[in-house]
Amino acid sequence: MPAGCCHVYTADGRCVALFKVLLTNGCSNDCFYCQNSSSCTRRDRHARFTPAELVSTFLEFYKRNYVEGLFLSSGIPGDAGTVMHDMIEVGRLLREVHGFNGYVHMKVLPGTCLSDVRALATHADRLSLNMEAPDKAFLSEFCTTKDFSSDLLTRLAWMHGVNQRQALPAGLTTQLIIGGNEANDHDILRATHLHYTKFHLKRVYYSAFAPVRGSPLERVPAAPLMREHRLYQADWLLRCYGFSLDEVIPARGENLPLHRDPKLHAAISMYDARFPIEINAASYEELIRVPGIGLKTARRIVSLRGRGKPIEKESDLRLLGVSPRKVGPFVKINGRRHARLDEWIAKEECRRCGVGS
Amino acid sequence: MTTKPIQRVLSSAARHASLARSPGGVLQAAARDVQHLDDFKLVHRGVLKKAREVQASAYKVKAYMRLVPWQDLVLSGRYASPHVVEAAVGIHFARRFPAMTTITVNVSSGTCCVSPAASLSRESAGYLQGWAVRRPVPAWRARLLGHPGACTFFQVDRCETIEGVVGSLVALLHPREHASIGFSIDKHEFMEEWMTFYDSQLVESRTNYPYATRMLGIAHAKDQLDPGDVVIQRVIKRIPRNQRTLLDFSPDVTSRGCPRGG
Repeated sequence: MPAGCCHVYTADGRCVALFKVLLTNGCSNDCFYCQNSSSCTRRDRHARFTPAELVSTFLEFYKRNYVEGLFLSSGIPGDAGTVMHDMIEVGRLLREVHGFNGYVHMKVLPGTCLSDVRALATHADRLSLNMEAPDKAFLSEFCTTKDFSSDLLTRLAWMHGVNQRQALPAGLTTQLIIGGNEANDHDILRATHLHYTKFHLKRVYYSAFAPVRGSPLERVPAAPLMREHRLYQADWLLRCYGFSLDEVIPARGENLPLHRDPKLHAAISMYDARFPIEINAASYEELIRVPGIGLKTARRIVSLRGRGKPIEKESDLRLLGVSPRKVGPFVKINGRRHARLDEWIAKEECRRCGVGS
Repeated sequence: MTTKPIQRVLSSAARHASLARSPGGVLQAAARDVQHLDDFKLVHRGVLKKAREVQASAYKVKAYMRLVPWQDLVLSGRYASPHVVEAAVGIHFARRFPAMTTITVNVSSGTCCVSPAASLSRESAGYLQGWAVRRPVPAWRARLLGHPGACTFFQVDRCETIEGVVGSLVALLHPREHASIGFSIDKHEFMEEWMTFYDSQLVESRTNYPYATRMLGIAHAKDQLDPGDVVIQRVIKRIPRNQRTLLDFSPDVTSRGCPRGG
């Protein structure tokens, strides 16, 4: 979709446009960042779909190929169980009555009972629960009606239990809000790491805080989108590159640098201990830590080396899709390094600022 | 790409417009010389690029082609791709809607792909086969399309309108229901619903129109989407002038309701 439509990437790399919708926008929680919360003075008029209405609207979009899947969430006007029963009914109608085999992502609402989580999992490809904040103290800056331990952590543990045998094809996810409270990237990455290791989440999503008119946080400045972007990059290093938390996490009380990507920042921080590496002798794990060399390229370098085709010169790197400028101070080709780190950093800074270009 | 067998890459490349008519030379040489994709990339970068072009074209058609439902019986759609992607597109929608007949037409080549519903009567299926025999696709194209399961291909004449062909097919496949068949929901009503949803999703601070146009391929989008599609018109309006393509200035585009550049 050009802009504005929610999408998801499936395991085979396809981008799927989703019908992202709330069952109801009425909510009795007082989340300070949300337009639909009871604490917001400029709330929209409340509306609620019946399960049949939502299903028929979705199927009209789906038949015309405007959307390929459903992303269903909801506000909680009073009892979470009532809303969850309607969400389960939506899943049942889609799967059992209309034979829909596409992608369905459903939100587990705070306060849901275990049996409802199980029922929801039978219809969904992915379940998610918004943690919103890294811990109890930070959540209290956002909301007074949700209990971090009983409403969120306990439900996340139940979801993990339901998904023990990979019952959900697209796994479990959560979302954290960036900015709007005192939590910094150190706290957020620690929480992220905990979610991945303890609850085996497929993804942690980050959402930069933006103030909503009429909400208690109306005057709090929005978080820069670049901060969200840097967190996604650090998250990618944890999940896909197998970096340890210590390699990417900033010092206590600090955020990730906005002007430099986390992989480059980590490489510069550990330069004396790790770099430069000999590209024809380095292991796969060493290669993927070089800025400018990704997972596929590292695999290709190791594979070519195994077939007696080492890298002899810079042009070989170009053929593999590696920019010699980017890897300059971090690798040696046959014992020769192409740039010194301090000079390289100075040049890159000039390039970034547009000086001398 | 490293995990894909070379044969699959060659198969996609063969569907590239410039290779499709003479798939022998370059592709056979490529298959003979190398066994591993890493080597293949070093030696035959051009073939790999063409394979990706074909895959990307099929991918975008599947994502952005809009379908028109004729009650709950038939779905029809049209797209323009210079590549031989009719089978990939037809199979994709046939799998997604097994209970419905899907008719997809590539207007660039005039090739139509019909995937009959499992419940289609034997008589109607027989008529369809007769159509396919009377309107064969060119031999080189038929060879590249292969025999993908239940899909039936035939050629649309230059003088025929796509709407006329689809109408005839619907009458052929569903003669009893043809009198009452029509759109299952009023088009304006549907677009109103869609735009309500679309606008509700838009977060102005997160819009990135240059990125969107790069990912979508603006020329491609114009071919796939309804010419009067409000969404695509909005995107085109936001493209900086120096990033517009010739298509944005062509009289044909203007006549289809898209805004003139400038």
